[in-house]
Amino acid sequence: MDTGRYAKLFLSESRENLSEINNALLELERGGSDTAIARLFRAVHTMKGMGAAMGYTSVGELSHELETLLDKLRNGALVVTRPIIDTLFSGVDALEQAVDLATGAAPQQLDVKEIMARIRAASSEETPQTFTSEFAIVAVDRKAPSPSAPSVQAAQKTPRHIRIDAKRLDTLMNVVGELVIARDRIQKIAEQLGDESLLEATLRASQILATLQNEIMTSRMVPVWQVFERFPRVVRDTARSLGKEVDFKIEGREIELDRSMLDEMGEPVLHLLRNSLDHGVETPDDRERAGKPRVATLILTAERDRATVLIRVTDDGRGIDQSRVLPRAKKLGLVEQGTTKLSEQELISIISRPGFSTAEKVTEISGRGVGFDIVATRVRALGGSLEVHTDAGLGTSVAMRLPLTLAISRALLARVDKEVYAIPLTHVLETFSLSQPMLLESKGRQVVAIRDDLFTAIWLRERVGLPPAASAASGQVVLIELAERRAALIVDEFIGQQEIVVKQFDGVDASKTLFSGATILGDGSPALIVDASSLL
Amino acid sequence: MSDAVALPPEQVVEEEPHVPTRRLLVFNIGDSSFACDMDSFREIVPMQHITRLPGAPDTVRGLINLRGTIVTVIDGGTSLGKLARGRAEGLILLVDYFDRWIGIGVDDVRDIQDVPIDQFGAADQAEIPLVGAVTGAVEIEGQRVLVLDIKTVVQQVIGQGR
Repeated sequence: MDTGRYAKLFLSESRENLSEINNALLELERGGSDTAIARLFRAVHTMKGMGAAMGYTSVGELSHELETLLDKLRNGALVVTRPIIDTLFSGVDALEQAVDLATGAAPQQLDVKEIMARIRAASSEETPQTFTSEFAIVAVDRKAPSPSAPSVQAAQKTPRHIRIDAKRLDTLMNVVGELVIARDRIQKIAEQLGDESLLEATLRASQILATLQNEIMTSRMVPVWQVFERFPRVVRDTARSLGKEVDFKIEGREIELDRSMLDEMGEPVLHLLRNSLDHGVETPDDRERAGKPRVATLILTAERDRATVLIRVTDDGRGIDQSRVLPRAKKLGLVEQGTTKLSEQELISIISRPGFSTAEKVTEISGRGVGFDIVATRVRALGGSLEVHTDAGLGTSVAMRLPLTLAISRALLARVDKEVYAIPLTHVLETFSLSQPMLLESKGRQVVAIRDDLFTAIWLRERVGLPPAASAASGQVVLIELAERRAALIVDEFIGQQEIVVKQFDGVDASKTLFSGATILGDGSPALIVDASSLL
Repeated sequence: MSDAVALPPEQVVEEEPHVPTRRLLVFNIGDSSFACDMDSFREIVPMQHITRLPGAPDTVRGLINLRGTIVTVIDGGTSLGKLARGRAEGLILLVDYFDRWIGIGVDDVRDIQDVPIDQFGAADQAEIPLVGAVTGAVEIEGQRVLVLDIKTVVQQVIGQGR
């Protein structure tokens, strides 16, 4: 068998199985019994079969050992204890490693002897059939599974799906983008000709095309649980290593986002969760002293709000203490000395500064205040924004507001000389016509005066290596903003606003930092998308 | 073997000792010709509107829209050290590069030739400014033509890209 060809498929199916195993284990740990064990058994059994078929001996053998242990739990020969759960978690971690190694660039088999011996020891332990052990999670049936259990039937009725290489969807998206451009051209020609029936036919084709575009956009949408489902395990492990107790909930897992966005948002969400566990949530003893339940609550919510998605991480921890942030902020000169209370907006801009932290202890989990500024930077790069709400002593809620897709965004099209560039609207505050009196010099720099403020003048011409315009004081100004920094970008002329499909290209050196991508204009020619962060 | 006499002449020819050949695409840039393995190319498209890529060196012409995909086009003349940039090259050769395409602007495609591998001679690496791009030389219609590894050419000009 050509295993190389199947390795990718194996990897993606293994990931699904492993995450199912992890979630079932977490359920078992929380006190779930028969159904959790049955789920575990099924998923491990699948892994065993797939591993053996691919010739991945480490995966096959390890799964077999886990299966033996799970079988004993299933038929009651063993009871679930804390050591057994820990052994299962370790076994699953090893299984994950074995999968990664076997499917890596240089495939190899993980040495699983030691972990297999551990699992075997656990499954051969003659656990007496008593339920007196402190950790024993009673394996008596609460709901006796009957042959026609409704859950089994429901599982069989799930909608039918097929696997498609994501690249195919990207290609479809591209082709539809081309069609839209071609339609615009046909429409123009039809208008010039003024032929009634041609115009009518064009209109009809446009409507069908709009439906097609919408369908393809929809087929690229992926529910957030695909990213969220690995978080329960991460939260559990992080909380345990920090000695904290937390009840983690996920809400809105069915909310959908474009694949391009989903791929990008996992990391920032993980940062927020870790930040909450590390800095927000108190130790059980501290919580008790503060009159709160020992177990903290951490909630991850996804919520659709028109064309954006809100991803929120809420904890009932200690909150961000203004009395600790303020002195630091004053010391760093971020706020005026007389300030007594920070607005939420000020708070965000202060805590998202690189290196800002009030944590006294540097921990491995979220490092030295580098968590939040990474999140802020990523979210802005994705065209989104952050909202923070905090009550000292009661908890913090951080929300990321993200556009539904990265693939399509709105941009301002601007011309310099004979070239057209796209400026993403996410960074555009306002636009003005440039006139001579607005151009000033301040501290040796050229600035543009807008109302009572002065902004550094940036000529797009100069940035793209074109000679200066004949008259410096003509053209249009785009006030751009990124992370509290603003500047006046000067272009020759605005052409208009347009929905653009963002495409990647092979750039070289400087061109890679100057532009964040390229798009295709109505006339079919490529236009570069200016990266605002490189201008400021 | 005596019935070989009865075979049509062209089949007899096939029975002769056979030297494997390489199918080469021969293209012109200015007065020079170069050859590359035909397999390296995906498609040949006419020169079209190229969007200049600010910040890129002279060896990069810019971007074209190939049926909805943005393709970076290399300037053949400048890259191969033969001619100055800015001439209107006539064709774009599309090369498979990792999982995408890169274009190379050339003046003209001269020929597609099957060249027996025993006719490949050595060539000096220093003949063009790209390290490791020359794999040999062949004689085509009395003219010495450098054989290039086109992937190396692309890699030297744009690196890993993306």
